[in-house]
Amino acid sequence: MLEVNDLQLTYRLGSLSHHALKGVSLSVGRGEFFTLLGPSGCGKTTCLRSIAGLENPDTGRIAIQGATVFKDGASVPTEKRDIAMVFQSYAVWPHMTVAQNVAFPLEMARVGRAERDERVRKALAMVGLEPYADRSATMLSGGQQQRVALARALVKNAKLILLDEPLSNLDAKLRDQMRVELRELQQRIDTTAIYVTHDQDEAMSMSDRVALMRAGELIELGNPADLYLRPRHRFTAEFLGQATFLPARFERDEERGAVFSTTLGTVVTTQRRYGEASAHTLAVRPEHVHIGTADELPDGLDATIVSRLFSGRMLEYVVRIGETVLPAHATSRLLFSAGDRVKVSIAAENWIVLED
Amino acid sequence: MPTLALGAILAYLVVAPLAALIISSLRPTGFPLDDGWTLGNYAKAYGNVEFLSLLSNTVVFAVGATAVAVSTALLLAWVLERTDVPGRVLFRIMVLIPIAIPPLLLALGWALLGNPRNGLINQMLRPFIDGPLLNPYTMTGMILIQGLSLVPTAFLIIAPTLRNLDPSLEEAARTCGAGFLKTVTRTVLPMIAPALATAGIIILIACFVLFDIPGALGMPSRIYVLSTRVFYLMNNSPTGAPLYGEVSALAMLFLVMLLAMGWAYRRMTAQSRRFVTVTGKAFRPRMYRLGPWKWAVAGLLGLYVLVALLLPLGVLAWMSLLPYPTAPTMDSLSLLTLENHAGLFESDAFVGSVGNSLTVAVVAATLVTIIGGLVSWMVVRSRLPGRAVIDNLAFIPLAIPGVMIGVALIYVYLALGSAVPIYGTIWIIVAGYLTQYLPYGARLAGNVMLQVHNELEEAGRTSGGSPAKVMLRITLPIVLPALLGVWVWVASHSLRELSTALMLQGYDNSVVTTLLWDAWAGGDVTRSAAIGIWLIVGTSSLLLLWQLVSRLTTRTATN
Repeated sequence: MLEVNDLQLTYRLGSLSHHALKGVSLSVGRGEFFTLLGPSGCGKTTCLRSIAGLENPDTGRIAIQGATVFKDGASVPTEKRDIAMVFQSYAVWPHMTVAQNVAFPLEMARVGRAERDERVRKALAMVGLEPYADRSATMLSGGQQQRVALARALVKNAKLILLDEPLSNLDAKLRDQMRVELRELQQRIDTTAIYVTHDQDEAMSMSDRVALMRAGELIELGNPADLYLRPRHRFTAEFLGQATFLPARFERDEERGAVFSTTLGTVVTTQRRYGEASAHTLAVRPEHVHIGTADELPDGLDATIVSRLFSGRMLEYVVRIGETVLPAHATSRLLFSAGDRVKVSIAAENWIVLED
Repeated sequence: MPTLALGAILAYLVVAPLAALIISSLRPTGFPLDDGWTLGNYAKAYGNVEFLSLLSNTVVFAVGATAVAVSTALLLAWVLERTDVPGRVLFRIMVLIPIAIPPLLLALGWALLGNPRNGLINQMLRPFIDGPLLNPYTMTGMILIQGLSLVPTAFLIIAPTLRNLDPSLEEAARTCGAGFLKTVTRTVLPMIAPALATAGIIILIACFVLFDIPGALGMPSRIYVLSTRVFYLMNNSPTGAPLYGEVSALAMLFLVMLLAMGWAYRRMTAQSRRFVTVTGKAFRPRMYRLGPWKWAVAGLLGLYVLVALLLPLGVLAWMSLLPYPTAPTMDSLSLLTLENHAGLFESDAFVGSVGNSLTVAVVAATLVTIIGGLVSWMVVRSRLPGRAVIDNLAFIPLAIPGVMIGVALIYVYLALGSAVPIYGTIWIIVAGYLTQYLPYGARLAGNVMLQVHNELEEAGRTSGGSPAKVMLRITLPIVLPALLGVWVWVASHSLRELSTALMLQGYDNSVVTTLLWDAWAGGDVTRSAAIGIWLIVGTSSLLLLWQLVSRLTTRTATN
């Protein structure tokens, strides 16, 4: 559906230059919800805008549905690409009504009047804005403007929809609601979506696959569960959630996975090590650090509760095991207090072996 | 391609006059197309004592008027935006109204009030005071009146900054134990310093190039500043023939000076754009309570309105209704007549000049808006190569006084001769205004473009619109109301412009302002007053129309 190969882009301003894309490659299948995730300035928006033809990369290749739209500087103009886009600022045109906004792509495609009206009505119905068709676009709330922008993108029936942080200007509650709606819509009309966000929750909850970017490079790509539970890179593990990192020395391979020695003693994992190096880093997420009484976890490590933060839904402990201090998240099933002696266990499959 | 076309237009409007000016300064005869090279013009222009006094006069006048304008505007802005003085809304309108009044008329009004021989105020005070109290025909008079005429401009730049200042910043200073004065000097002043500097330098540049007030008040008493000196050398030189070469040589120094200031201004505004002090946060500015002083302050405001608006306007209106100039007394009330006004509309000269003025204003405003819009779109929006050159070219005329644009165009169109036979017609005045108002047009339109989010245009492209379609269907409709503002600005300035029109005056291209100037110079006080009144009617109805239109367009936009 979408092929991006070795995209390079450098911004130049006088003697200053910024290497915004350093050889990004990705391949997105038909019907996929694909997210570009990363901190601001990582190149995710530049990459999306390159796919739209709003930025001109220096070299590389972009193909949409097998048709090359960009190759080493030669570019098909934005309006001739089979795409639709939703912008961060909504970019709803203030001098048009809601219906006129949505009808614009069809006008540009010279769709006949009757068909145009019907498709606009359908698109507005899809986002629940039918009653607002004749309103001036400026009279709508932020959430409604977002829907207008969405309807305008959907009406075109483009094979590829590009979304540039479309929810970042909405308040938290509306954002959660729109996540679900957006994902449902995308599946219902069976289109391919490329979604840009810096919010890892958004990326994880909506996407089929996520590409994590940093400083113009694609760091890691995979489905949300794999990226969260089995990241290869420290950056991925950190960006997608909290994690404790422990330096580890490779001991031996066993049937289930590699065994390492760490400050917590010998750790059995269910992964293989990367390459031949002896020094590795292991990671563990706080919710996988299991706290219990000596009765519950007789084989656990001896630990002391250092501090406790109660936030209702969850308890955030910090525990010390020997010289190692690590956070542990637990439910309110059992309450421990600072200074309590407890047992801690971490399951073999919850240990993450990192490549870097 | 578009770059080249636009570049060619700008070259014609900016580079050609500038080159003519430079070459002329190096020709023995002062004509760009004549033979020979010389530095003699420079020796003549700079090598005498008069030059030093001209330079010091110009600097004293410009700096003085700027200081008057900025300090008055700062006080007014602070009182009107940040204190509980009564009548704020009314006073704010009264402070801004003079924008519609040509500065020449302010000068004439005060000349009629303060003329040492028969000025109305001096006449009325004669029984009580020995000798005339006021004399506007002095450097001090020129500085004060020029300063007054620029107060609204400075006010418009400074007031929004004071209004948008987050009061929590001041409150923070108060909680740190700073008193009122400390708060003002340590927090408020530094925060509005960029706006003050911007206002100061814009007005300083204007003061170096303005002609009207030094022309009306300084020339009769032989106090010359740069612009009036150039006018004098071109029109009333001792030898009788225009001293083209010397004028051009004189122009060079000021060109360099003004370009340096213009460059400083650009650097400053480029930096200030980085500090956005206007946040989306809603707050109410902190109001200082004046307590018992508020009536005294309101009285001072009233005095300001009297001096800057009511008195000079009143005396013009009064004089326009009289058969001959006389002071307003019970007896003279019986003399009142509409003769002067009726006479104007029966005179071919006046009706013709009104037609000329309107034609010039409409054509110049339309062309400046179009060219300025294109320039700003290219500079702000496009990524076309050569846009920096275009940007700079469009900025240069800001530093060229109207009289010099007049001089330069005389060279250009005398040289072009029958190829572009517009010398002596109203079209040469249009050409002059195009050059003169292009920087403002481009800047104002640029501000408009900056407010239109990039993504609005990009959404048009991703919706399948070609660049031309997006321009036509999206960019243009969105910026049109604001471009109308640019149009009104240029039109009203073209209506009231005097110096360029005066320099380019021929047989049948007189406009209202030159007609007024000639009537005044010919000593016909009542007729000039009547013309002045109609000029004000013209400029203010234009502004009124714009207010109406912009209110209508914002209403339809929000409906």
